[in-house]
Order: sequence, then C-alpha cells, then structure tokens
Amino acid sequence: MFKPLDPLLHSELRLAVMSLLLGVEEADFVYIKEQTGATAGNLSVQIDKLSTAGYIEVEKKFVGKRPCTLCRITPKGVEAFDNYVESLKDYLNVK
Amino acid sequence: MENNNELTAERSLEIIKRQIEQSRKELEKNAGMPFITWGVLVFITALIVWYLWKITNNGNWGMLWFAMAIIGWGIMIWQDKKEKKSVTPRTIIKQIMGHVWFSFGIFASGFPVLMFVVAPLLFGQYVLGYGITSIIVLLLGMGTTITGLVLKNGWITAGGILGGLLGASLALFLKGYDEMLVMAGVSMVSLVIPGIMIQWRTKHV
Repeated sequence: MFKPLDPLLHSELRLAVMSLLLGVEEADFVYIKEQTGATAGNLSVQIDKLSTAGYIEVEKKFVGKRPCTLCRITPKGVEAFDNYVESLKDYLNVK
Repeated sequence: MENNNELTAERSLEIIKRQIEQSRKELEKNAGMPFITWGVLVFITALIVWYLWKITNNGNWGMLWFAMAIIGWGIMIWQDKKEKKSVTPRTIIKQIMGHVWFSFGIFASGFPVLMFVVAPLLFGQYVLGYGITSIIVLLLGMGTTITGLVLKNGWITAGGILGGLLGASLALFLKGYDEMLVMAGVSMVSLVIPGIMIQWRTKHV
C-alpha cells in the first residue's frame, strides 16, 4: 500500500519553493521568483498556502528603503517534506 | 512554473533535484573568497614578520599578526554587509562554514592575546615563549579539514590534515623567525589552494 502524497506539496511550484528553502536559512521573495520562474501573483498565492499550513514562515520587513518578504522553512515543513520524499520512494520503489 | 496538481512521482523527484542543484550552484558562488582573502593576508604577514624578525632579531614583530587580524575582520564585515544587501540567501553549508571559521578566529586571536598581552600584565612575563605558531597551525588545519568534510571535497580535507599536522610539527622544530615560513607555507596549503579549488568547483562542476 502506497503512502498518500501530501497534496500541499504535490504541486510543481510549491514543491520547488520548499526544495529551494530547504537548503537556505531564509530567502527573499524576489530570489524565489527568479529561481522558480513563477509570476509574482501565482507565487504569492502558493506562499500563502504554505504559510497557512505552517510549512514556512513569512516575514515582511524593510532593508533600507526596499520592502522585503523573507520566507523560511519551519520544522513542520521539514518534516512534511521528509514524509513527502519517503512517499515518493515508495512510488518509485526506492529503498 | 505551473501549479500543476497532476504530477507524477518521477516529475516530483525531477523538480526537487533540479531546484536543489540550481540553487546550490547559484548560492555557492564566491564561497572560496574568504579562504583566498585570509590565505593571502596570512601569507603576506608571515613573510613580513619573518623578514623583520630576521633582520632586527626581535620577535615582537609578531604583534603585526594583530594588525592583520583587524584588517581581515574589517574585510569580512564589509563583505558580509555587501552580501546582506543582495537578495541571494545564505545556504546552510555557508552558515556551518561561517560558524567553523568564526570559532577558529576566536581561538586563533584570543589565545595569542591571552599569552602575549594579558599574561605579561598579570604575571610580569610571557607564560608561553614558543609553540604558539604550532598551536595556531593545528587550529587552522582543523578548520580546513572540517570545511573539506562539510563540502565533501577530499582534496581540501587532505590539505587541512597535511597542512595542520606537518606544519604544526615543523613549527616546533624550526623555532624563531623560521616558524613564519611554516605559517606562510600552511596558509598556501590550507587556505589559498582550498579557496581556489572551491571557486573552481562552483564555476565548473
């Protein structure tokens, strides 16, 4: 019996955002947008969904005069990502 | 990138792999620069101290190391501020390396301050007359070895072990101003060469 895949992570953009955030302390919205190639509107919606689920934290602040939205993965997000990868291994029959 | 919920397991794996690879390449740019900066500073300072110590026969020229530390920290703070202005985030690997070398900086700067500044004030004499180069070379070798292990780079790890062990032993045999030549050699093996290798790897691999 396959483990169910987390529907929140099972989307191209949200998965890409989580993969990106996994290896960094925190990342700016602009950087995530550049790296994923997503539109600002779509990315904003997906980040809200991840934030509401508690997978990421979003902090809005100013760096000098520039507004800055910082995203960082939470321990709950790391655990969810880990479970997602474990489920993927089941599907792909990887031990 | 689309928000597609009809992902296959293979496609999911491909996204994770591609995103991690892409950001790793982007984020590891210039990770070797602090090594090169410190390596060159140590190399130049070691040769200057060696030359002045040799022609004046006065070991107090070793105090120039404190000036080098101040210049080095100044450069690091300036680079850190520049990095914070950019939108490129710090990776976990960079964070670990930062902690390792910050610890090295504390011990490598703090120990000589205690031995050559605080101890003479308290006891009226140097507590440790020699061997300090050897101790710092050991710490340096350890820092490079840990960096090599974190980056999974055998050459950097080997450079740290070789530079640390051979350099520390040599510095004990060659007492006096020639210890500075050992320090110059170790700065090449344990800092400059690993720094160039990290830069090369991030650009070509």
